[in-house]
Amino acid sequence: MTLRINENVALALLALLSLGSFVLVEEDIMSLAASLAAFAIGLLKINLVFGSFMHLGWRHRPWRQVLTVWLAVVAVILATGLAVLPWE
Amino acid sequence: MTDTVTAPRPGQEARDGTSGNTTGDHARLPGDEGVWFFIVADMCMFAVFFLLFMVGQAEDPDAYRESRAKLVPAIGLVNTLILITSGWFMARAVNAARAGEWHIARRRIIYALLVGSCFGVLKIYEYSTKIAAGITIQTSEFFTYYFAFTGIHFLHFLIGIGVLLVCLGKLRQAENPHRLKWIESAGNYWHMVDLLWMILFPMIYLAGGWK
Amino acid sequence: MVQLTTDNSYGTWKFCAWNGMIFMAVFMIFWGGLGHNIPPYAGDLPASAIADYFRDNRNMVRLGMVISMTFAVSYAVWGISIGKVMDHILGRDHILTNLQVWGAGLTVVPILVSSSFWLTGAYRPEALPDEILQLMYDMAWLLIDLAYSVTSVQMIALGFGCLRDNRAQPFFPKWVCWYSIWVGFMFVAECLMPFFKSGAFSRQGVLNFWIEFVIFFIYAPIITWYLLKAINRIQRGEGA
Repeated sequence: MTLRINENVALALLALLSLGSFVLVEEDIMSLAASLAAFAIGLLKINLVFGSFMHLGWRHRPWRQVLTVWLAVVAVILATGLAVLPWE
Repeated sequence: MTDTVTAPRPGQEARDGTSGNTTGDHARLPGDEGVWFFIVADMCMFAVFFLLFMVGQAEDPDAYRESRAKLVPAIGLVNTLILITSGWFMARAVNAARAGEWHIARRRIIYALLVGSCFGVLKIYEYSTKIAAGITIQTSEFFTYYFAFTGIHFLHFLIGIGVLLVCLGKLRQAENPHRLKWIESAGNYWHMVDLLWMILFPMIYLAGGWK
Repeated sequence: MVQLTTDNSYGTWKFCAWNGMIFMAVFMIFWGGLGHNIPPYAGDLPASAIADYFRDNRNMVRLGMVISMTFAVSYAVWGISIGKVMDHILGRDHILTNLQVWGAGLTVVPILVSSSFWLTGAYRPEALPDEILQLMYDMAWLLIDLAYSVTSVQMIALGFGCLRDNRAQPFFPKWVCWYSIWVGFMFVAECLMPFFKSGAFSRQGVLNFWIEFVIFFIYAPIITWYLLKAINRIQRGEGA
């Protein structure tokens, strides 16, 4: 899915999401869920940047597809890396 | 999700083949394909960095958590907001260029540069406080990766500053048929710097726990 | 229109272009294989381990480095052949062509000199203390890794120079040019190598050996592929 919205709305969303991830983790620093959410927010933000700032759509083959694969691979790396840690 | 179409103002002419359509809904790939190759290659390299960090953290979580606790996440957050804002100015600069409003595009690139430069200042401040506290690239594996990966990112940031400055010069050249591609490519590179930080920030400063 | 001499010696030019592949094959087989440099011995190994490497493999290392030193010049020959194609893109005596040729030529120096260090270590290892042999090995790796910038100059000049090709079908596609620029830029991570004896940034590490050397090993075949095609096109009269 390409998240393409007006740049001004994108900016507000990106800022809110950034603050949100910061607050989430600060509230519960030893929570797997909070850490996962922080990464998920980061990946969502990247998707927003692809669509709303870079204006990269699905018709722009193969680049959008390649970057989607990149997002998926990074998501697996980050999630797996967190899941194997000892949590309280 | 809505696309906002900004039509060129009456009498406004786009001199370099732009349609005046400032949305992202172009059949044409924004920017130069070769630059996209460079961007993807760099992002793949950073994916390797992310893997190395997460593997290292999995092997010694306590050490990573103790080291992470020595960072100030608020600095990372402010830097995130700086890059996001700078990226916004750059995206709007590209929109202006597509509408043929080159002087507005140049102004917005200048704003992107001014705001973006604050990232550099804050990064240097952060590095110097760490070093003053006796924390260096050899202090621990966490801080090896902290200095190396944010340092390589910082190098990309500095190159991005250079690219934007060159772009400013290119936009002055009314006779240059490639200046739209130039600003789009420069913008894509600048957004890459931004989006890499969107992983670096949570990975280094936030996620994984502190001790 | 580039004014060339009437005798363009396309056969010689293509042979020079093939030197890129000759260099890589020799480098991998003799420097890497016989020289036991793929991968390097770890920086945190004791001196005795490095001494054993030289003493137990002296003839293989000698042969590996002799051939490596003999064919080091192939990289410069290759660079000159690339330069002649760049003449057709940029016109004769362009600064980027000069930088590419000089960068390729200077790349020969660290390969020659570092190979001589490995060769020296293997020359009379029984007579030298372990620490001296370790020193030779360290010197060789520090030189070959940290001399990256001369090769970066070649790669970046090649990339930016060949991006200026205005042909409908450029001699070097854009992605090849940008790959060249990217590899040249990526080598800067080697600056971290002297600070680590273990981990990803050490001489044997994932980043500073495996990734850096792999992207370098595939660089020459890619460039040589398009280089030979370019020479053939020029020979057919597409050089203008």
